[in-house]
Amino acid sequence: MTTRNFNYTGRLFIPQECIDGRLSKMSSGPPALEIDFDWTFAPYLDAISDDAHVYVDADVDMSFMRFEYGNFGNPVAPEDVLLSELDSWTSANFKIRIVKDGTLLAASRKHTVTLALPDTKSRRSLIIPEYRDLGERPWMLEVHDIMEYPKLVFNEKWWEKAAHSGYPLQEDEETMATIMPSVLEGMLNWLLIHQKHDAHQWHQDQSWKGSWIRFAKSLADTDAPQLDKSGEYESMEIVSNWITSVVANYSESKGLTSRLVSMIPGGE
Amino acid sequence: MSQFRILNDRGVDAFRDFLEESAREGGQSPIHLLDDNYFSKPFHPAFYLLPSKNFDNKQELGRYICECFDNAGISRQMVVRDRNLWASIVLFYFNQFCPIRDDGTRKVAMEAKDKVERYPKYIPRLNLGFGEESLRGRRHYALGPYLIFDHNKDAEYQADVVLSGAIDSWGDDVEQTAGRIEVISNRNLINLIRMLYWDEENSKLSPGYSTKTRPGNINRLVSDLRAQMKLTTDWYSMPAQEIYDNLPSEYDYWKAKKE
Repeated sequence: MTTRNFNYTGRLFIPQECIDGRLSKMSSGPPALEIDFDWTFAPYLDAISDDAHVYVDADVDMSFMRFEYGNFGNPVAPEDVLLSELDSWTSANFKIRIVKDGTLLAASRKHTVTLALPDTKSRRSLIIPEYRDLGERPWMLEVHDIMEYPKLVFNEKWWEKAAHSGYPLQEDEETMATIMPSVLEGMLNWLLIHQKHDAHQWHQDQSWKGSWIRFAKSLADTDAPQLDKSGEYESMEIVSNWITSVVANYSESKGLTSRLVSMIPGGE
Repeated sequence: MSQFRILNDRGVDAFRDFLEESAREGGQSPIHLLDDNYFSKPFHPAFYLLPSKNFDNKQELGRYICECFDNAGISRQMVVRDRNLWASIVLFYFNQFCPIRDDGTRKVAMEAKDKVERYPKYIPRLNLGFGEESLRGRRHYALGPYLIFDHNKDAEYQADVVLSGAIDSWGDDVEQTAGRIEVISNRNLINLIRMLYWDEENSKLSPGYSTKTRPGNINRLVSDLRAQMKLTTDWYSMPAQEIYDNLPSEYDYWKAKKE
């Protein structure tokens, strides 16, 4: 069944193209959330009165901050844009609201920025990178049910060294070819086994969860296993085998091992 | 008063075993786990809780924990994801969170269908997933009041209206409130709740404020109505009086009680 969203409220939508948001960190302590607006990407927003107020609402888990950016006609960042009250200092979700006399005139959808990938421009991600102190662990997949996006978290020591060398990890083909099959496997394990939703149930989901499943189904040779009426899979082995085959097909489609081999100097 | 110690995972499991096996029969709380290096360790940075401290309501609890953390330089960011810390605080004051009744038993709150944590009021429920852990404070006897108080500690009434109940009671109203950051961080909304349901004379909530069959109850205010109103209005920027004046007629009963 297709889900349609109707908007009877008169509230206008602020598209992603109008918002250039990023996190920046000057020193230890909270990062700054810096946002620039360019309303010209959505001419219909001209209907909004210049003296309406622009708010940026940032949140992480159970923490929230509101920033006042002045008037719609000339939005100006407040003096203090540090995310000091948020529960995470490496990433944040934010939403833009334009309000006049308590009436919500326009709103964006929720965006996520991280220190690792601060730019919100034109991004439609399945996963976003981040970096953090992970001890000696090189990377990990971070995913739970209330995230805006799952995160591929790199060890900050590795991330920073790679960035300073001029070869940032997220652009490092060898690193990503090595990691991504495990990321895909971890995501499908979480969605299909930990969450115990079958691919059919996730398929209609409009969030990143549905996007991952649609991506996996596009790679699969066989139909995804379904839960029976009692909410159980016929066999966990069938689910695991399906995930394994999807990961194999992903690796095949990208020629991952061949690419890794070709990167070794002197190799054929 | 000694430095507060927190359970390790083994200690949390032992605490859960106690909840499962002997708490209902009125068994003594296993406070000794917090003195045993096999089950616990000192928390860093050091902070101190008075064992003899009594809490008449959730606001006193939230305020006390906030003050103790502030004195030790502990920020919210340092503790909101620490399941074992919050389980340890409940264990430390267990006889207040789960008192022994006249018949010698305890009423142990349980979520039998929750596969992750059957005792989320005592041990915070971890969000399922890989990687960084986050906690669902909405059902936890200590983390919930702490979060609500911390978000409202600079407000005039410090969220007394939603923190006025006993620390061992946890109605739907608290859960609906504590679980929504858009509620606990919106002081205008907290003030609105106070305007509607707070009995100033007796310093308590008006009877029936959370009765789900009664029009204009608090659960509907913070869930359905708020979700509907936020499509067209911005309660963060509206004074409580303005929101109050524009509430639908189902709230007239509560308004009339104030006049």
